[in-house]
Amino acid sequence: MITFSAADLSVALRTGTVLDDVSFKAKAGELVGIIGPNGAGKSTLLRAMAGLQSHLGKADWNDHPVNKTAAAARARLIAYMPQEPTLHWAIPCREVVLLGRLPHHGQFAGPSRADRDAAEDAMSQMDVLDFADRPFDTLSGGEQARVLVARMLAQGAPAILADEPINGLDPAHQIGLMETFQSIARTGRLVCVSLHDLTLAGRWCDRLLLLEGGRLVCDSTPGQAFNSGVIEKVYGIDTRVIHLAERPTIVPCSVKQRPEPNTIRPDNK
Amino acid sequence: MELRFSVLLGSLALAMAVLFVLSLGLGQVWIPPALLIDAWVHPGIAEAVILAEIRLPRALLALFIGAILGLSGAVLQGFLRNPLAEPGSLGISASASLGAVLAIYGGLTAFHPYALPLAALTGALIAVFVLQTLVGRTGDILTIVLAGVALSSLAAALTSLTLNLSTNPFAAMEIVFWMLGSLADRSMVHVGLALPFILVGGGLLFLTGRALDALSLGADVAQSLGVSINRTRLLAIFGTAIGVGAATAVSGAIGFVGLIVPHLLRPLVGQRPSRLLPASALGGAVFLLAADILVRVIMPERDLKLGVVTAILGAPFFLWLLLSLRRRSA
Amino acid sequence: MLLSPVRIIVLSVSLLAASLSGLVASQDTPERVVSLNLCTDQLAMLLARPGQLISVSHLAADKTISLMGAEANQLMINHGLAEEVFRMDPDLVVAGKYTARATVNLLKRLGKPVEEFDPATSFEDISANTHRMGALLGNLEAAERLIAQMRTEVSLLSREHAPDRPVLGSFGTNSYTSGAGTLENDIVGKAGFRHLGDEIGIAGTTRLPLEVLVLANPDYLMIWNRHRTNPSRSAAVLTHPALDARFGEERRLSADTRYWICGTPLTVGAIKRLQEAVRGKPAG
Repeated sequence: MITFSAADLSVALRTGTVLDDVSFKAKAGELVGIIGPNGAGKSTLLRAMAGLQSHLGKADWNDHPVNKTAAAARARLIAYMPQEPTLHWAIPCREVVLLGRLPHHGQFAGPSRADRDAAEDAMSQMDVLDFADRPFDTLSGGEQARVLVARMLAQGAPAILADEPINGLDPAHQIGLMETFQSIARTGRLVCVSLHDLTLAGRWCDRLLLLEGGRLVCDSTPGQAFNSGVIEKVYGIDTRVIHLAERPTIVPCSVKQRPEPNTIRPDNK
Repeated sequence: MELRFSVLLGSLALAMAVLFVLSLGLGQVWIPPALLIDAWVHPGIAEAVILAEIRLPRALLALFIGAILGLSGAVLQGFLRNPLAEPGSLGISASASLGAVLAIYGGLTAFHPYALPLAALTGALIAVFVLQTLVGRTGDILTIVLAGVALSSLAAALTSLTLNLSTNPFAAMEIVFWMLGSLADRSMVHVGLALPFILVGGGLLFLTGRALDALSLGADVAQSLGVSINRTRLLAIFGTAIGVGAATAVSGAIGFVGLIVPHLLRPLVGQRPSRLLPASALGGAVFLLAADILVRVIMPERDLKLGVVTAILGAPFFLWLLLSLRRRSA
Repeated sequence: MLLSPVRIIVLSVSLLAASLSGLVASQDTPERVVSLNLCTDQLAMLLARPGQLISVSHLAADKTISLMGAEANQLMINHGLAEEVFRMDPDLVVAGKYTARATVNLLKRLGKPVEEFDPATSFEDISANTHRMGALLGNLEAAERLIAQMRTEVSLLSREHAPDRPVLGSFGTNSYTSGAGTLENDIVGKAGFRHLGDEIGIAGTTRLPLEVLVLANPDYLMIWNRHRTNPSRSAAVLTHPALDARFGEERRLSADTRYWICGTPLTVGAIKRLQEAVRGKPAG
């Protein structure tokens, strides 16, 4: 069973400190949601966890530091999908998904029967089997997004790190993807996704990691996070929390009124 | 899908074989290529000697140089994710040309019969190290492109300077003609000089196939799939430098092959970079063999420069590309 | 006795000697000579015995650059390609130092003897090249005769050390001029001029900025006349208004390029024509 642990994980880029002493643990079976305002460091955290970002502090998979793990081993351990994924060449969708099997058959052999089956499964999970033989650029944005997720799923890795994977998907496919992530987690894998949509995050994730300015300000279940008021504080919004089918559902309502500094108010002379 | 690809490769290979045989037969008079076998048995016959020592090296060079140019173009376009990349983008051809030009200018060609290709090869290899130094350990695409542009500009400027300073109009002419590219009167010595390097370079380039496929998903995802960007970059740069450097050393600067051939074949391989590699190698061989045959058919007595023909074919290609892009976006 | 031992020996020896000398003679004199370079073409045509020279380059047949166009047209024309030359089955190939390396190397590889000639940069060089060509063709007497003839004519015409020699500069396409160490330099000197290029420190053939030419103000300006028939952008400088303004008709000399391109015994004609051109001018 796969485990991940971060301790004092920090990343400093030329623009400043992007991650500041982040510490948490995660393990197989969990669907972890990483939330936070823009620029909070969500993408950087995922990249650091994937071994794509040099960092200070500890980021260990199964107690082994990620940047000391060989690339080939890492590829069999972690499937990663960046924000705004692209495909440079308009290859057929089936081939895109099959690329996810590269860590299994290596650079010199072709995909095996097992690889092709895994790709088929991933495509059917993401409901893109109909486009399998069409070139990628003939698909709509949402369809393309699903194909790229299928690539990640096809990799069959015990850990999945996805950076805003629901962007560009319509509501049915958004829910479908979160359901898929949840069922994958239940089969004994670790899934970490970063999300902007707090409602989806609350309804599907087992845990929420809230980042603000590079720091981890909250690490709890969605219910606890919503009730503590930390969401409202960090995002600067007013929210309502309702319960639907026993899951806490947060609905952002309005922007908090923030007092402006140095304004001369008419009644204060 | 698989069948289509096999058919494509098969057709290209067949075309290459046909053109190769045609290239052997064509010349001042038609000599049946089968006579080449006779060359082993009766080495003295003039026709056999012409076939074996004059036409065979020329055909072999057209085939292998075309192949390495096509292959290198495909790899660079795949690696730099830019359809306008070509072997010249790295500045290797320009540096090989500079080496050759310095040999002509410095009169080295009088000392050793093969000083010219050896100097060009040296130029190419020096360029590799300069490029690698400029790019550093973790060079991103922009850095590589800029380094290539810098190297190319520098080499071209020094070449122009050499021409400018030349007090000997004959040497100046020799330089200009060399830079136009030609395969006329190359011998088996040239083949022996260039072929090992072309094969090594080609081998390195072929190793990048799957990495290029993965790179279509972007550098981050490719890395997460276990691809080493560094290794791929080194293979692409060294493979190009060694293979194309040796080719340029022997034939002079022949452009457009590495640019046009991958473009033409990309739609036929479903845009997959790994499939484009063998297709472009075969396609490049076909292209250059055809161009070299054209050169000998259009102006049989005069030495029409190969680089001129490929450039003439290149211009309409760009027009066609422009028109097809406009049509697609309209 | 008809065939006494002594007679047999004498007969054998003389037969041997005869065949040996015949062998040596045929090794010495090539019978199928091909020339690949304009200058070696003309030199070979001057010195070859009838039937010895079988081919010259297409440049030799071009009457605008070759003095022996008519003679060249009697022979096979080649374009400097190895296959073509090889087919002619030559036993000697003569070429210039700047003939395509690949072609020369390939011919050597195919077992054809190739003799390369440096371009002549003086009358001494012309003598040396002529002598060498004569030796190669087995016609040294003709070579020596031509050299002697040339030397006599040159010394008759030469006003090399005359006092008050005018300055003459040449100006060609792309603003090229020549200076010290060139054939032009030797011709111009012997014709009785100071050579502009030499005076301003130029060696070899290089570009002369128009400004410098105008400032230097040579007494005579020699412009190559071939280019009136072959227009090109590089020849545009020859009709630059500054030239016309500075150098009127009386100071301009037109030169027949054919005598100046190649160093052969015919080059003495360049001296003669130059002196005639000057005599035709008001100042000369």
